[in-house]
Amino acid sequence: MEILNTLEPFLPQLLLILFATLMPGLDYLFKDKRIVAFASLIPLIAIMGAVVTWLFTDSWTPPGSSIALVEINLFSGLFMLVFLAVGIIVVLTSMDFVRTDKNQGEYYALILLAIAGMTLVASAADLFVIFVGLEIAGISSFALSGFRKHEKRSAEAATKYFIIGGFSSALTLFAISLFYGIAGTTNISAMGAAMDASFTSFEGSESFALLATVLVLAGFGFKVALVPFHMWAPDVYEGAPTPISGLLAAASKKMGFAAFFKVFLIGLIVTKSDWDIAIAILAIITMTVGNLIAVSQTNIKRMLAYSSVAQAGYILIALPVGTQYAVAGALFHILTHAFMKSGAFMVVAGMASCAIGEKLDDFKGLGKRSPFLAISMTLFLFSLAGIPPLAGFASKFVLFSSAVYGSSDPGPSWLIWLAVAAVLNSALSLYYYARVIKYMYMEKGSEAKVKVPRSTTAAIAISLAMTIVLGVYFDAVMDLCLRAAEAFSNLPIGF
Amino acid sequence: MLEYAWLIPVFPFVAFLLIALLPKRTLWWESGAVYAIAGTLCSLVLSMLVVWSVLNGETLTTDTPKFKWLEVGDFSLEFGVWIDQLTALMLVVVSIVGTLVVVYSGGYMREEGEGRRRYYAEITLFISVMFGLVISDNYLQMFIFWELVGLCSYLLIGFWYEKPSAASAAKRAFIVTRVGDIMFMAGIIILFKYVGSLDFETLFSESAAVAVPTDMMILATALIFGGAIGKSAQFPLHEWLPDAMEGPTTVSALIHAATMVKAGVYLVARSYPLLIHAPESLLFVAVIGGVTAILAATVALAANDIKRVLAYSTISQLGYMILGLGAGGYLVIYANSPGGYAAATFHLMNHAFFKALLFLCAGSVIHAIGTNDMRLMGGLGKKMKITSLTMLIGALAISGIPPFSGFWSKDEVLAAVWHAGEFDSVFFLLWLMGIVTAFMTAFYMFRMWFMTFAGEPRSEYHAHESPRIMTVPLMILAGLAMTSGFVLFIGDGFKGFMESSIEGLLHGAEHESLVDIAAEIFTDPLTYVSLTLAVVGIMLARKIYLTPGFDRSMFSRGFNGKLQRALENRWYISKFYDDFAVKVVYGLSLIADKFDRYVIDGLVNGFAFLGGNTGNFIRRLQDGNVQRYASLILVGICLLLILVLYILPWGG
Amino acid sequence: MIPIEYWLIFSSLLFVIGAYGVVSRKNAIVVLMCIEIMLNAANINLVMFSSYHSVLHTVPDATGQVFALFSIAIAAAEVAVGLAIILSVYRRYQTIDVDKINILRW
Repeated sequence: MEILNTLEPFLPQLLLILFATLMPGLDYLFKDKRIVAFASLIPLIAIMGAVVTWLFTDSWTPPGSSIALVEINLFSGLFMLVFLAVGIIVVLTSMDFVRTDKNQGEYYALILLAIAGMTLVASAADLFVIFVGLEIAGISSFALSGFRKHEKRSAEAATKYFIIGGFSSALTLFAISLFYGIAGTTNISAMGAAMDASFTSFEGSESFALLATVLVLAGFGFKVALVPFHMWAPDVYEGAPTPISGLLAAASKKMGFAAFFKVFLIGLIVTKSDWDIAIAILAIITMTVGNLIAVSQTNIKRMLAYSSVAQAGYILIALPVGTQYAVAGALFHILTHAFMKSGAFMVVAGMASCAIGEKLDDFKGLGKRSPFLAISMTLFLFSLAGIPPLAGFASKFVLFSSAVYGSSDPGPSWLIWLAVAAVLNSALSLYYYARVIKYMYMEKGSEAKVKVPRSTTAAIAISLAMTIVLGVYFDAVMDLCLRAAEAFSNLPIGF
Repeated sequence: MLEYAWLIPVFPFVAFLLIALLPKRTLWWESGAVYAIAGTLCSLVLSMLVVWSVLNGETLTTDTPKFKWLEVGDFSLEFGVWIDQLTALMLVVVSIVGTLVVVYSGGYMREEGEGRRRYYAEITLFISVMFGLVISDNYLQMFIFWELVGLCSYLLIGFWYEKPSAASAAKRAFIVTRVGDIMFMAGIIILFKYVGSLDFETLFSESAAVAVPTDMMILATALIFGGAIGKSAQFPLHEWLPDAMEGPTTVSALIHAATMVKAGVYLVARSYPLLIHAPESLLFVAVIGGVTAILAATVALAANDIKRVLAYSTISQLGYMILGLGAGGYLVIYANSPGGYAAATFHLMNHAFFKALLFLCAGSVIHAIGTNDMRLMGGLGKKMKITSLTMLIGALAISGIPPFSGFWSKDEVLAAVWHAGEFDSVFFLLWLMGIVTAFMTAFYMFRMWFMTFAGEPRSEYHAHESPRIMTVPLMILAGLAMTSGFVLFIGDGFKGFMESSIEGLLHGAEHESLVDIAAEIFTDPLTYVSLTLAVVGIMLARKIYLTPGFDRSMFSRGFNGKLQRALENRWYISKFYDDFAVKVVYGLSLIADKFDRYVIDGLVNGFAFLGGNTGNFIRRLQDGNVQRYASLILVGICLLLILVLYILPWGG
Repeated sequence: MIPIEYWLIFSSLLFVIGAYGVVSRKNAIVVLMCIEIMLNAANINLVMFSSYHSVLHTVPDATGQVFALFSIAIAAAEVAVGLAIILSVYRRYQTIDVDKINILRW
């Protein structure tokens, strides 16, 4: 019985891994591969249902783990929600996208494993668990991005992703080893306390702490695609199967942020004054570079990749601001971005399954060819650009205003420049989003109707509904995010 | 019942979504008219239920249900519902006229083909946002819907956007009303600054009025009235309304006669609790109303376009309502009487019915013979019996002939203005303007009716009566135009009903009995003055326009023809704006253009060039070599290390 | 006991050698090996700090050693997937030179 209590916090991961091991067997047994896909939906929907019930009804108290490796709270719950929802959307789209491919059992198994890794990071309370979670998700997604191994681009994407990913995980591990050396523990909150003891571990440990901070910044920065650690992202997003690009942009990136928040805002909060300007500069560079390059892209998947680079820059604002309100804003944006970005990728995937390309030119006249795809894409892009009353507006509003509030109340006054840069960047981004919309509605293209598969339609519809609902129920969502941000009880409230 | 009132705007909005988004083949009859009619009918039913509850004394003005959309710190943007007698009145007007116009469109827009879908989508959207405006419980929400009705009006005026005149009229209407909107916004910003809230509940309380200094209250209320000047086409921003007649006639009937232009009047009535703290603003309101009424009536005397006559008449009648509200405020302050307020809102309702009727009749005529020019009509009465008869009812109503509705409300407005003269003698002058306007109204309305329906045809045409779907709404509206005046005497009486919506402002005013009201109307000599003038006006019109061979050139010769020309040129106001625009604004815009072209564009292009090229340059770094990426990561780490280890400690 | 600085210098050197290899060697398998060297540098740190803290606080601290074991296992999984990916890229490109694998760019 003891062992069961210990395992209780790991139930979601165990369920996902159990189903992941079943997938190849199902693939062998059934000729209709949709059964495999539906089977992989079971654990996702089950855990999702449990998490939603918990988040909205408070019917369950998270178990305290006896070995302090994981801590389940609203913060992790919200992240789990994102990962599971993106997982469902990706599986639904894949159902049609990979219908002609071999080894579908492994494909769905890898998706489940990747999500298991992500949820592990979401509930981690220890650097150790963060690293293991990052690696489980990382290794699965290396394989996933190279899933179409007969395609040159897919194989190349996997190689690049793998090399940069391995390199970054080495950086992360080295940083973790240094933190362990300095603090004498790998537990994040214990580390936060130990960092306070003004670096008495060994001589020069203050400099080593900064080195480790920069290395971990690079390691996590790879996951969330911060400039200059972002170079892999466009290549991999372009080469990987489109649903997987969606998974990487909408879920894997968010896993990086979960790790970021835990390590920087709990573990390294004491040394905040050492790293906040560096991260602020990184945030501004990230959003600016992402948007500037996105302007000159002609491949939609690459454009979306750069746009998510820019979005990562927006979310990063929360770290230097470092208030609960900012974290809530970041959570909100993570939530909304997951839906609008995965939705946009799924539209591209839906078009790909009708043998339409992913270049900007292929979007010509889409408004006539498939009103559903066109209107969904329009709403996703508008939401990404932050136009009210869509979700993207709501979350950007909170996120940017947190910098404004933060600049006057707890933090230094230069924080206001983060808000200014973010707003200017949002305006810039409208340019390339609007261009896609113009191509869809104003340009004449092929007249042939597009028939979107039903499962893909369902996936897009889910994202679309959430993109609108999250914007309209602004207040309720914000309330949830604020409660989740209370996990960072060491931070000032911030408004 | 009232807690469901928020559903009223939802129905037409759903209809809008269905019409806009459904595939073409599922739109059924008339490209979506079915959805439009169903949507507006649902709102009509719900509105009537709400109105019934209000009649039974229920209101929703405290603890209004709110949907909070956005909250940042101490500022929140909420959508709420506010139901009182004034809201109920507007609900009656918008739902009835809206439904009838949408039904009528089923016949009128038949020829439009593909465009009908756009038409029905836009008109249901308009009805939806108009309901939203009416039930708003704070100024910010009202302002948002205020802008949205403006947008719909813009879209619908420009419905035939291929026509340059329609496109420019739409733009003009939008821009001119924007001037008012900006004033409105400035007004509510001032209020927010002092009170810290835009909720009616907070703003209309006594404590809020104390919080605003007197001069700021005058400024804020005058600015809010500025919004009404734009939206309700009051002098000097009234010239957009006649131009707006470029849109389909149904749009003119719904938006530019019965509902949207009433939003300004509604705004003034709604702001009464603020206005009574600023008598100066009330005087301003009354003067603008009086001037507008008489000015627009004179122009209507000489107009030859049937829709323009109606447009000017609308402006003139709106002026009446504004005048009545201005005078009513004085009565509330000094005489503790709701007379003017009730009269103006009463006229608002009656006018909505008979003016919508007149417009739809005009639409029926235009539909039949295909021109707006009254000089080409004549003798239509024999061919279009229903149209001519219903239009006669409308004309009698607006002229103020008993027992039609216009008589009761117009008389009440004039009585209120006269009464207000006891407190400020300017109102006597305004009363005189009002009574002259009443005379002119009767004259130009019957000029129009005689020129259209009586006498002999003045051009070749093949007229026919309009289909049933158009004439039935006409008959319903005619019925309303005949009877809506009698609500003055039903139940508690209209006055008593409206009185309760501004109860808090009246300090124990005596409730007038219905007999008193009737007696007052029929024993007051002023009633007979205005009635006589109206009859004389009608007779004069008959004499001039129905007597064969009557020499009408005597008018054009009067004052060496200057008067005639001035009227035909709308008192040169439009020309003034155009000249002003051409000479002054164009001169300014030339300078601005130069500045824009060489300085701003230079900067923008420079940035775009820089941006595009930087983008391209950085993009080239991405050469596909994965080791380059890894090196960049290392470079990034080194730079960050230098930054955190050396630069930042050195700087801070 | 060997002073902690020596260990740190050793692991840092190993780490830098690995990083240099990742950015300079052309052969994908060598790049993979260099990544392993970097991971092992971190593992040395973990084990070293584990024993350092045990001595410092006079309480046995096994965290670092367990962590190192886990990271070795993870590295093994990574190598397995990595070699498979390199194999599949070799089939498509007929080369494992990382600078020749560059159709995805700009």
